[in-house]
Amino acid sequence: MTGQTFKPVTAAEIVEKTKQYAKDGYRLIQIHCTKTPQEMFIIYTFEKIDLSCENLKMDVQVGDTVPSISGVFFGAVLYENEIHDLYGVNFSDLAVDFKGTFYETSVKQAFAQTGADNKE
Amino acid sequence: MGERTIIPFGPQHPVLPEPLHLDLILEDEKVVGAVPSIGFVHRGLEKLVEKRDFHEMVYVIERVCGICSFIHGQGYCQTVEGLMGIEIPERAKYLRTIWAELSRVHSHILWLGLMADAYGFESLFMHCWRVREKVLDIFEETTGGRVIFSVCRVGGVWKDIDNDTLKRIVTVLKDVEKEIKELSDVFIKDYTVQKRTRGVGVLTYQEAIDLGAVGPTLRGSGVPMDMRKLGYAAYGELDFEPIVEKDGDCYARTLVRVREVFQSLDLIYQAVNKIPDGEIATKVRGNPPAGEFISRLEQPRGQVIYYAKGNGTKYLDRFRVRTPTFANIAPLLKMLPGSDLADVPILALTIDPCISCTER
Repeated sequence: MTGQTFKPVTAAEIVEKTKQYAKDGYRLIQIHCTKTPQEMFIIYTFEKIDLSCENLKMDVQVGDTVPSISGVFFGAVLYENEIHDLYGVNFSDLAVDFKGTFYETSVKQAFAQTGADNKE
Repeated sequence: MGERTIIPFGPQHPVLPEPLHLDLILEDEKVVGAVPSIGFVHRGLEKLVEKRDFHEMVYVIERVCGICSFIHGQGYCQTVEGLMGIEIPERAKYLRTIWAELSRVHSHILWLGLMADAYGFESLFMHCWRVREKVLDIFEETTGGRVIFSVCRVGGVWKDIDNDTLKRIVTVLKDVEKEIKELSDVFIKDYTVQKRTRGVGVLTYQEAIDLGAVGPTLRGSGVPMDMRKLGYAAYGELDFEPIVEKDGDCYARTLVRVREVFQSLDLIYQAVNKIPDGEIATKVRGNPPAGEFISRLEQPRGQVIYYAKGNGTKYLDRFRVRTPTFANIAPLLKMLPGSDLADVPILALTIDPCISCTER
């Protein structure tokens, strides 16, 4: 299965790297955040028309501000607002900023709390 | 420039039984912009992965959606199997392919019925859903369920379909094919349908790529991308090419789905002819190791992405689902400007929105 490598990227590099992927014929197909008791990161996945894909992985913390890539791929708006509402990561220069109203969750930043206490 | 008005569309609307809201910005009757709102019923199912062990979690992920429940279960299992390095038996791969394609057939026929309803063609709507019942009967006979099947497991499938039943299923599907051929003539040739869909909501080839469109929304704009070409399950053994239409309008997206019904039926016939005898599951030992894995599959609505992160225990650290409708919202916002207000319900339907998936 292709697309199983996760290349490290920093917040300072993400916009330029995304522009390079766009120039190389890739498109954005997803962004998601993961938080475990040990680490927290965002994964960006880019795909070409031949179905090859690549992932970028950025370490973040709750409350960090990361540059939005919605200026390169507009579709990023939805993923970035989702991550903001569920994980409490902020994005600067969002093309459309829902300001925390994208998901009407009863618990704010619900996914930023890990369930480690519930495990065996 | 006419006076601008904002019209709320949804979250409760006759053509959208699920809560999607659009703020439509109008100049007279013309849409000039749209702002979406989702998240009214977000369930946080992904978070349950921290409390359900990796064998149980398949039953949670199946419940992400009631229409493509099987493929959600399949995608979850395939991702965990990738993480654990498990190769499932060949027969299980074929069985998964058959159930997945049956899911596509019933989903597309369901959508055709909803489109007919949106045109006001109530008889056509009922005929589509009548034919779809035959596919649901096959699910009930082979899995015991009509909506949630619970046949996928990490390592294979729980139930086999004997070869005599498979042959009988093909006979039923030949009837479905004949009936859908008759019904599809209305979607393809009817003057009213063409008047409502041709040239409406055009998404160009480049816009479809740049905005991350998936599935029939992407292929209706001429982009030949179909995740089944990755060869997962038994697709690598079957002969097919992505269905593509070039016009990028509502009519093109309708044609893609109509043609994909016949393509899925053909894939099922091929799979029934090629399915090998043998085991349907392999024994799974241990827990998912520390590591991560991404899978991409083709749902009826388009590409779905699954991500799993293991930590060596029976609980995954993270399971993520990027559903097709979520990806198609940005393209929808591009299609809406320029259309008439009266076109919006049909235009929104042509991405086949599934808010249950989106509110996973």
